[in-house]
Amino acid sequence: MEVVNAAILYGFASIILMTGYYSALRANDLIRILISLELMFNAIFLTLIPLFTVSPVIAFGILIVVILSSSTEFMTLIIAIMAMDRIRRSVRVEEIKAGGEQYVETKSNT
Amino acid sequence: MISTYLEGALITLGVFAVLSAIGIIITKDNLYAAIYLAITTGLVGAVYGLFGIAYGFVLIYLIFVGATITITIVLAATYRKIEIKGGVGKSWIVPMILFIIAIVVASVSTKYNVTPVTGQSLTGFTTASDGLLLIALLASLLMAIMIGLIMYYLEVSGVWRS
Repeated sequence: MEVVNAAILYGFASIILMTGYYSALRANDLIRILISLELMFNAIFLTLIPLFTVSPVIAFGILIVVILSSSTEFMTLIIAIMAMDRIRRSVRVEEIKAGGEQYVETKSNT
Repeated sequence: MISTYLEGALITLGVFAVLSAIGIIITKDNLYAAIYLAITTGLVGAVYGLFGIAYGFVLIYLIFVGATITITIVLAATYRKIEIKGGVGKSWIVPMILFIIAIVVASVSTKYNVTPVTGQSLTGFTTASDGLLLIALLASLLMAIMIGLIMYYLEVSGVWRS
């Protein structure tokens, strides 16, 4: 039977995860942070592959949960970035202050 | 028996995935960073295909690459500005390299082998009602949150009328 040492998968996964961390730490705009987060999820997908050898059904269930919940999370972040651009006219990290600040509402059509 | 073909293909896919991930750090343009991300995710999906996990391959390509990352590419193309690097210092790369070395050393010593999944092992999930219920619940979660997000965005942009 064809087998591969799991260390290869874990090695690549840890490199991609750390690349994502480094990119997020060095970024100063929200788009780059979003891209870094999505990169981190690639590492999660890679680490899940060895679980398919142990129990394919459980691993597939976890994969579905991870993919759909991460997609929901990223959609939320994308909308948050667009809303931030509407309010602050910028997507820079420095624009994010403590929560609960009031913003001046834009002109309504009503 | 260690398969040289499987191992070689995995290492090739992994090396290209890591290179395109490093490209995200190197490039200063958000659009190219998003495209490098799509390449990395596509290669990770290809690893799923290599191990015979066809359902995982399709899910990653359809939902993650096809929907989420495509929207990220569009967003990055909209906010395509040259990024001025900021954040933490470059010295943070040292603990990250130590982490990678620790993970590789720890996993090599376990000698845990991964075998490709057979075609029949996942058919039970798609036919079981529990599996379909899980998919339906998560898809409903995605829809419900998207409706809330659209309402929030309309509220922020001042278009929403209650």
